[in-house]
Amino acid sequence: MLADGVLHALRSAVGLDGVSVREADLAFYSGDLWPRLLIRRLAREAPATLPDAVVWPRDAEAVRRVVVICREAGVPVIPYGAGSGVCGGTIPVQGGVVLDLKRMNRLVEVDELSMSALVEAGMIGRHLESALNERGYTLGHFPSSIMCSTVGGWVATRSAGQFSSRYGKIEDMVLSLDTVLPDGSEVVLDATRAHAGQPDFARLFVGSEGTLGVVTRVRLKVHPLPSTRRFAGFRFIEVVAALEAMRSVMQHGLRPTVMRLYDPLDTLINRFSMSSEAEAEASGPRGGPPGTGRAGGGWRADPVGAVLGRVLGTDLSDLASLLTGPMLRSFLSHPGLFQEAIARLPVSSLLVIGFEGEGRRTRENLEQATDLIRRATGRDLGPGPGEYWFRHRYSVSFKMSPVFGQGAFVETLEVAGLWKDIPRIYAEVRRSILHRVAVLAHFSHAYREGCAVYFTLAGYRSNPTRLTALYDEVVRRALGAAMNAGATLSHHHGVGLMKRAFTPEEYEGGDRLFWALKEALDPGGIFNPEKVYPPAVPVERPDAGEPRERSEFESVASWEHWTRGGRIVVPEVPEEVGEVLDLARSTGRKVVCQQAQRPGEERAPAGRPGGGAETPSDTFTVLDLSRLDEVLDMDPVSGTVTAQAGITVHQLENFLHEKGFTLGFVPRSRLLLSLGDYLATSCPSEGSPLYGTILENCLGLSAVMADGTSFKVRPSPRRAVGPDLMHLLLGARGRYGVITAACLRVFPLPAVREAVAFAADDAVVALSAVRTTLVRQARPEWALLVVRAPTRLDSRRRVRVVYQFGGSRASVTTHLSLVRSVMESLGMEGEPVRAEERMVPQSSRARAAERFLPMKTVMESLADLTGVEAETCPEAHVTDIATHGATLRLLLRDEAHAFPPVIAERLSEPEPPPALVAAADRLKAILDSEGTLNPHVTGGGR
Amino acid sequence: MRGAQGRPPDAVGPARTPSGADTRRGPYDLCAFCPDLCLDRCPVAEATGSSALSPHAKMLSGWAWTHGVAPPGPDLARLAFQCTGCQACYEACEHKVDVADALFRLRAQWTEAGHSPYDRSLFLAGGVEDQDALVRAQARLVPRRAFVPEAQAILFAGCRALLDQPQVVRDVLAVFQGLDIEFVGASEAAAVCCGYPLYAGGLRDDFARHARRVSDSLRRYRLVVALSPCCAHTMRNLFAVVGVDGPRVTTALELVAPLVMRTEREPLGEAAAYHDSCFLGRLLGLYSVPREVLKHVLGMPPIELRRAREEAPCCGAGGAWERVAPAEAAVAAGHVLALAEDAGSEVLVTASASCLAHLTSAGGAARKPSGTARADRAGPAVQVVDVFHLLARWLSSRPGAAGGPRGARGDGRGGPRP
Repeated sequence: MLADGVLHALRSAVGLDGVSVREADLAFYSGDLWPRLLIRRLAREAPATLPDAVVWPRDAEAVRRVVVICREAGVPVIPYGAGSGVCGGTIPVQGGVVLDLKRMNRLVEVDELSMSALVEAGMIGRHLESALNERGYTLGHFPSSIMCSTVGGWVATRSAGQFSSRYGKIEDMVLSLDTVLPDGSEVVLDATRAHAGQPDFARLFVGSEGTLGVVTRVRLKVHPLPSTRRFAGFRFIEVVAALEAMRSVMQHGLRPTVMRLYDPLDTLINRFSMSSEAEAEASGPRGGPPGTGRAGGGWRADPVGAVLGRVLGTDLSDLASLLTGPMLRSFLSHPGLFQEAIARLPVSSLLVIGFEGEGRRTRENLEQATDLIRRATGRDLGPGPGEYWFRHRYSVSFKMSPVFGQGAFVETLEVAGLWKDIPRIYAEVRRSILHRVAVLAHFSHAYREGCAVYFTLAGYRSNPTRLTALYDEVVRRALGAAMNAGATLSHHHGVGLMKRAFTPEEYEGGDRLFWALKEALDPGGIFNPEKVYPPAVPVERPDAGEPRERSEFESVASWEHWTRGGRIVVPEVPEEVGEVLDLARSTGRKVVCQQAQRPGEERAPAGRPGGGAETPSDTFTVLDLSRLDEVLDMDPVSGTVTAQAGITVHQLENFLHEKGFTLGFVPRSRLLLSLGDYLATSCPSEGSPLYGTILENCLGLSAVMADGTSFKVRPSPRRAVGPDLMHLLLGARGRYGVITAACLRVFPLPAVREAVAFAADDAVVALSAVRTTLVRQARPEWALLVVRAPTRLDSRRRVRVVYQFGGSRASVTTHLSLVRSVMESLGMEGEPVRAEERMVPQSSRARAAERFLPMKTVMESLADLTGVEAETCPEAHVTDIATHGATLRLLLRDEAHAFPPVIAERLSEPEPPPALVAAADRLKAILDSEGTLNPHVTGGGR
Repeated sequence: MRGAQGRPPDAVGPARTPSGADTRRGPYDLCAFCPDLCLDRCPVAEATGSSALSPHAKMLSGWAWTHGVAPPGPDLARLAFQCTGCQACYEACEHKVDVADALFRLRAQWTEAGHSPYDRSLFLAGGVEDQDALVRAQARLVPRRAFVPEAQAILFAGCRALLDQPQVVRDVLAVFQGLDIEFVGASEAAAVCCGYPLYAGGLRDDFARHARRVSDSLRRYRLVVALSPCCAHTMRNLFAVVGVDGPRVTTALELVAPLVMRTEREPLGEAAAYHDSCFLGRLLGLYSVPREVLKHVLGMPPIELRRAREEAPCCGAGGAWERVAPAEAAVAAGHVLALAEDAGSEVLVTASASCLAHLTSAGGAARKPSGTARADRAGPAVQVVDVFHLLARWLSSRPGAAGGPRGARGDGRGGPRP
């Protein structure tokens, strides 16, 4: 029960109509769609806990005021989207205020030049999509809950849409988040760049399930509406063969809009649904000849279904209806018998695949995929199954209530894993629960290195108490089996209350980091309490034990040496890193790890980082990881490599080349870095259209935190397991811990590499053309635009655009042809590439400044350059070009020259918000109270 | 024809689904365990931002009551009244649960059990209790010559047009005149409320009595021409729910549409967006007729809002929601106006006097008879006009090459007038 004063304050903050303490409202907001709650509903039980109030703010200022009121009163705040979560993520376990953001439901802006949209967090997904469609764009995010979920909810749970293979998950779409932190400050978290010394707060907020603050607005990438969509369906006798087909499609660099493989039971249910529609179609004018996909053809004439129908003595025109109807209880009372019988039948698996985009490319992509799938023994069923899937892509959610109507439950578990683990994950999860519940599965959300497995479980017991017990048992067994087989806990549903017991397994040693992060941002613990992690893990550093002698420190590392600057410790095994840090802490030493600096930045003198005069130099120790240089695992099936952090990028790349792989695009300046240094100092925008960024390609890692504790994140293509704690280390410059090993996505070494250059007169037109090629799905290894500064001999500002493509001959030819057609339509002819243009140029001028900016701002800056006097005009490089933005680098010839003021302002790094600096400092104080590791790295910007 | 029209009157939810869905489960059961799959369609949930007012939540209140999970009372009963009856959720539902019908029945049950949080006077206000006002308004607006005792068809203008939007009545009469529709007369018997507010207010007995009275007084006419699609739906479909045989009803738009299409006039050449009234669209199934009429009159297809036809959002005028939650209903109207603005249209045409009145009061600049916009309203710069206003203007323009209307007299003779 809220105190009258708090209630009054809330009403003042959001208006009388913005607060409800009505019992009916509180009862509804007491949970979400977690099936365990629905079982409770089946048992006619009232909600276990109620919120004290529901609040509907209209803007960020109102959110801020509510947060401040709650913080001061110590009242829990539970951010709420549309309640479509299935993990109990919004249950107000400690009461408090439910903050429903659906009155903040506007599409604020569409930046057409930067291909981005700014959206309020409470906007319902389908409303956003239709508003974007009206402007000719799509978000490309189509979760099954699109009609009953909000943008804020998507971000909070790391949601995935059905088209994620092409457009990515929501974390791949987020460019920035407007947030209200628990201390009441409003900050914008920019996901395109990180502040040195700070964790990547934007990526930590994505998936934080409302435990770290409230997201009020989101800037998202958008894409042009596709002009064409094509589908195909294939039948496989073996699930494993179909998985191979999926892997082959993804690893050939194809990006299907959708690719889903249904296991035999799921296929059987789909088949009958499809058959009934096909029958209807066949009787109408659209019925087509067999094999055309119309009216099913070979698809419909499936002998197994007919036999099964006769065996069960019923009309199986729609098995789905039957299984959700009168037979459901009988079936679910003895699920093992039925499923084993199905397993003995030659029931095949269905794979549907679809592409969208421009007409010709779409057709070619589908043809290529069809070829690959046929080679993997898939039998082509024509477009029918895929088109059927597309028409009914949201229907599955409607099947939930009839199952509950029969007194049974249905639960969905979506785990993900690397390709090598997927067959085992599927088999183990089924084996663990097959005799207790019905288990259907489909494989979707395919990526280059793995996919998600979506299990649907249905169970029945006549007694609600036994039903709950059954539910708890099968969920525990299934998740346990999945994780033992190498799966990530959740691909896109999140954790909530349901899976929190498993979170520590996902991130070994992560519970302490999570609570440290929580304490840094939300010291009062008011934000969505008890979610994501099991509660009551105190944020205490491990006991340092008795003070140790300094001499003990001398002997900890197996290898060390002294230089003029001080001691350098060179661990040979990762455990020694922890020992070094642990001992350093207990002996008051400071440890400097190279992961703190980017090449080209001014280095602190060895042994005395920061040059702090107050600290004696002999108390500094440099942690050199160069002996941790092993490649731990090369997985050619999934396309991943796991290597220790001390290996140089160059060495790793050589190793991969021998195996026929590559890390992808690595800037020349990073080649000599160690892998750990590269990961700890990289920027989120530093990457390539074809390969993405190194941070995106980091699938898992091991680290030693500043207090000597170890932390591990299991590799997974994607995950939705609370804040992705890897981002406490990636790009954070070793402030909180030292990366000791990482699992990275790798790519096949291109068979062909070809570069092409174009000359232009107008930089803005040229950049616009590059952007167009990227929008039209050109995927170069890198693209570069250079605006040469005028010289005495040549007063013109010459513009050069260079692309490098890599891949198969066919793929390179296709991309080159696309680029040439766009460029030539603008009057730019292809030219030979000069030797110096083969790599992204290094800055070697007197002064340089660079920053990743939205595309619109880059274009404005290039336009502004045309007005600058020739003599002082800087040279401009545009790199890291993506559809939404690019890195603009300006180089001055002479120290005396100055950057044009307007552009200089755009290029200057803004000071990070004080609230974030303070949170980062608090986090440092919690995780490294003595400032042992890299004490010179601060969160106040570069 | 889609929507609720033609469904058996005595069934609720799945029992009456066109798809023949399983009828053994009650509508509450299906909705109580549904993941809120029609949330995006509900104008009430959208306007209030409240998940507790989604169709799922409102049905859950009925489920909770009938299963004894939640105690009855005004707090719970209030939820059933937060529905515009727009049927948008019905269109979205693959089980074809008729949520509005279930909730309106629930309203009646709550009211009967004495738990309704709303005073009955709220639903009696206006034309229901003050028929004299309607008679007087009609007398002012309809010329004496229209009151023909022997008329076989009668104009049923409806409360909203007579009391709030008199210009619509004038426009309709002008259109009738322009199209030579002479067989539709006027009568004091038709200057009456159809009773929809009683139905929507859960006053089922009052509604039944009222429906019988209206039906009796109109029985002598072969055709009732309802200006408002709400009245048409009420007399055509809802009277039957309480066991009353309604009169034969058509909407004025349906009546004039064929004649308009056969009339050649210079198109207005103006762009305008069209808002689907829930009553005309989802409940009476008329989506194409108004679009064809507008295309003919404007000389171009109407601008489609991004949410149109079956997915069109309700403006908030239905289900007596504007009576129980006027502020929230105005927000719903604002959303409709914003859609028109997003579509780049300055004019929003509707074919319902209820929508016109509600959208106008919520911020749309109503067009005065002179055609000038009212400047005293805040809100989006979208002018809301009734389709008959455009028709009247169009008919007052110069006849096209083909001359005037053909077959417009209703006497079977057809052809242009001399």
